[in-house]
Amino acid sequence: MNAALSWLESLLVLAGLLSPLMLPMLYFLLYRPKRRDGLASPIDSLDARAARPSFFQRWHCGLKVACLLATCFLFISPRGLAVCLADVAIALLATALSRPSWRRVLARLAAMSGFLTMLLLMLPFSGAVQAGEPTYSLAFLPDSLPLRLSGLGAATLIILKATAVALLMEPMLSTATLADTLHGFRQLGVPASLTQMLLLCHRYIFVFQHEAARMWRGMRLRGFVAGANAASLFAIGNFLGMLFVRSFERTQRVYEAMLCRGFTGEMPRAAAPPMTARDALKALFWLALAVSPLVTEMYFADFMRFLGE
Amino acid sequence: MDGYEQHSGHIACENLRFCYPDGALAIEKATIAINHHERVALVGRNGSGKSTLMRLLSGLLPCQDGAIFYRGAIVAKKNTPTPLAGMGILFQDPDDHLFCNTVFEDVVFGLFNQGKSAEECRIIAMRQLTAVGLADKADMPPHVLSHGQKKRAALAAVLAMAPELLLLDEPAAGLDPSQIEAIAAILAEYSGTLIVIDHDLPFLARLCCRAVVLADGRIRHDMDMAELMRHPHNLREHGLDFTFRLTADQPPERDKRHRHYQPRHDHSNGLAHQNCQVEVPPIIELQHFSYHYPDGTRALFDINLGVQAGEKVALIGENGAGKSTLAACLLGLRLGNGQYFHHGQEARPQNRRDLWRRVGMVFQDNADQLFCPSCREEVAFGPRWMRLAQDEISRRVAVALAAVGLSGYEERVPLHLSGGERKRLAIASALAMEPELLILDEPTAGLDPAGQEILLRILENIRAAFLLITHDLFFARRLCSRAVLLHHGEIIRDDTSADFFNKIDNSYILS
Amino acid sequence: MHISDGVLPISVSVAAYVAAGAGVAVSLRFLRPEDLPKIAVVTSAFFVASLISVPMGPTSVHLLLPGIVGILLGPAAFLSIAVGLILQCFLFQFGGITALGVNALMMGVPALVCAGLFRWLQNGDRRRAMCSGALVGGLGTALAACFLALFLATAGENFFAAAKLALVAHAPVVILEAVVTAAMTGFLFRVKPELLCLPPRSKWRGKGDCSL
Repeated sequence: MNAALSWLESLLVLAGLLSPLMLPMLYFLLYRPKRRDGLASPIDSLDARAARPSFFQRWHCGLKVACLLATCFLFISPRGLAVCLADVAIALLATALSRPSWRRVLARLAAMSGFLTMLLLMLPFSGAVQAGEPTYSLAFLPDSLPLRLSGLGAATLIILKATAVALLMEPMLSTATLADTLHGFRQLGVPASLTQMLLLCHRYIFVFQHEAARMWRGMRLRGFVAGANAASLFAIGNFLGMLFVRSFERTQRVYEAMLCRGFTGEMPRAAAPPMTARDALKALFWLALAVSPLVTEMYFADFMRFLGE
Repeated sequence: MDGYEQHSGHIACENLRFCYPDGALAIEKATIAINHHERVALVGRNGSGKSTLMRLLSGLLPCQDGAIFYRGAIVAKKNTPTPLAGMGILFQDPDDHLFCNTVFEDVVFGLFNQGKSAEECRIIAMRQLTAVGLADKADMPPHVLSHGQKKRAALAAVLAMAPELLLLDEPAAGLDPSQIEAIAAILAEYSGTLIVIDHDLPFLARLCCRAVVLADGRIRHDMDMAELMRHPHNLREHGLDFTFRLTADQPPERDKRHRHYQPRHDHSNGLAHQNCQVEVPPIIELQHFSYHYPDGTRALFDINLGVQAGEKVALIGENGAGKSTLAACLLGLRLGNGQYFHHGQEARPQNRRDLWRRVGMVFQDNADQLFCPSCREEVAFGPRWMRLAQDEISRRVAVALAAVGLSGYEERVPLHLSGGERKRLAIASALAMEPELLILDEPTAGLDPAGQEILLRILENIRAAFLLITHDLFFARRLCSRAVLLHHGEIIRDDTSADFFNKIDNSYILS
Repeated sequence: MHISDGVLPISVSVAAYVAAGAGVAVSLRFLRPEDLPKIAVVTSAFFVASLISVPMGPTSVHLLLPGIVGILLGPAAFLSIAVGLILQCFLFQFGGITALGVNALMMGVPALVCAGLFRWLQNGDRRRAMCSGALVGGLGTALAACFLALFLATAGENFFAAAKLALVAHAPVVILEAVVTAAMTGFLFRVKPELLCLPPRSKWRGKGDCSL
């Protein structure tokens, strides 16, 4: 069942397939980072808005992280289109409830868009055509490369799942200080030394970003332009070498500073506030919300079929 | 250990000797004894071994030869860095000390390791942060603080542990006079033993009563601070900083007239243009130029500045006055409002990106400018990106290295050079691009007087125009024909050098 | 390129998490505790380095750096990559959180391979060091691309074409990284050979300890 599409319809389909790329364009339009190459825009601290009160901010970190992580894995399990759409709606609600920086939310979605566009362009046109499957021939592609609706469906599901999980990241990570969030992960079994490394690494990203930006500026002031040619790549290699030399020297100094303040291997951490009944109730409420689309689909299949007609 | 006596002082060393892994000798026959509550300044040229001596005394470097005594007993030799108990050490770069995600956590870190309870930690930390004036920044991550605030935060983190011996490596470096004053006030209240490395003589004179002078790894003088102050000329060679600094308590009235080399407009409100007839338009001219930071604060306001070919201008002002921002605007790194003329033509924003070909910059921190494995490649970097022919590049490299006195250094590694040599290399890299205007940001920072003399001779021989951003008035007076005073983003004075230095108000300069 | 959520079957995701988790646990057990803060600080430099993008034609390419991390950190490379990836996911959404295990294996295993290969290949000659650097840098990226293709292929035969595209699309990146790694190795050879686990040069004042 191959239907041929006209040029106009084909172009519309192509525009639809490229639509995720609108996100980075929207981001650049709204927030206008200055340069294409290099390290111009400063990095946002993850917990810059952690103090804003919200449903998630007042939730016990361990429970919050556990519930949201479980929800992420739930959302990527095999599901139908309607359930995926409901997942995205739930995730959007959660994001709105967490009072996030919408710039960060858009940045997250834009970061995934390249990979997802690649899938959206590849999946509908690859794979064997099953008998009886509806296909469409685009005007500018040969007939041997039809667009499979099932492929398009699969790609759409992936995009919805990825969007839902990406939206859940802000409530999970930006509603508490990084130390508290990582403490929540620690309660799930992540080793303490790993979380200590994450905290230290997060702190020094900003320091090295400043140093790298200054060095990059020094290079640009002598005419350097990043490009895919040997001279530029050699300059970048030298730049990286210099950056790493400085980082190894700094790491030695930081370690000595830690020793001088009595470091014995354990970073201090404040005692976590205890779990309350309210936190447990929030967890139950959230889990119920997260499984509701799946449950609805399973037990009200007839209802959904009725809606779909 | 036989032959070594017990010492009654707080910390002492005897015949200390230290070599680096590559064989270079850093400290030789160092013998000092410091008593409890004594305040000692450790001074000397760059490379004289002050930092190494401090690290040896603190236990961070292994003691290879000789003995160190602490609290009366000899310190056992160890191979790994083992800081001695009861000591507080502050390195030059405060980012090395601020490794937690908030300032409060950094201050609590040491207290926690001392075994104090959470409530005690909190009380002591807040008290210490209030003492350094950072109580409102306690919950902020360190990267949003300014350099001066970071230094105070690092000092708070060290002082919170109530050390009995405090070792400070250049606590006043990179700070403006008000910030130095703040640090001096905090340290004046510290009652333990103090060992300070610095170049800043007024700061040291205020804090310390004894001065130990190092040169080439050996202790040359060990005298009272008062006696040191009586013979400053002997000790200029040992790297003490005699620059006078400008404080801005009562800055003079802003000069209402300004100079435009190319009259482009009339003023209606009575501000007159000074008369200046020029046949050749200046290389760079800013007219009514302003710049605001992205968050809206005003950095530069109504700047009117022109630089002629071959002219040497000094840009003077306290930290935070906007000198570096002005340099960035001149380079085209930041785009402000107002008019920017280049050789009489208006430079539109898209053209300003090409300004790097005409305007060169030597940064204050030359680690930001050196990233090649050999001096030859470093100096050739700019000409190569200007797409010049290979023999022209070689010629420029040779000329530039000769101009700064580094001929023969072509194959040496820039990172292995001394501080003064690196500064000269950075100047050579900028000169190789043959800029019309060279901007030098604090070229004398970190240089000892011998290095400054060499730098002076190099700069005197440069034919290009340059803009010298400096705190060092001696340097500015010798090199520059014109001086511009910047204060809170506005130009207060723009005179010839002679007029400027003659008219300086005593209440305006700290001497 | 990092894999985002929703692409791979949940079984692959979870299995990769377990494998990567085991790798991290082993690293944490066998590394000296005093090295962990040092690795963390150096990892932030790698993080910043990975933000550099090189414009190439209509798009720009981010460097992946598994080869470089392997050269500089040796056996600690897997842990460093895991830490860096977690922060990349948390801060920028480079790679989804459910795909962290997959991404860690994809970049961490090539880094370990590169670490061993580089140590085995180079012998103290600058040219040889640069060539080994180029080989290792390119190989690291190529292996990462192969892993990416393999993981995509586990998603079903519909993904085979996408996997092939991913492999082909990384070819220019392989070349870029080979050149950059060679340049970096040459720089480090002259400036601070201890970072490459070679004896220190005569005029350098610094620690001669190669392992962190």
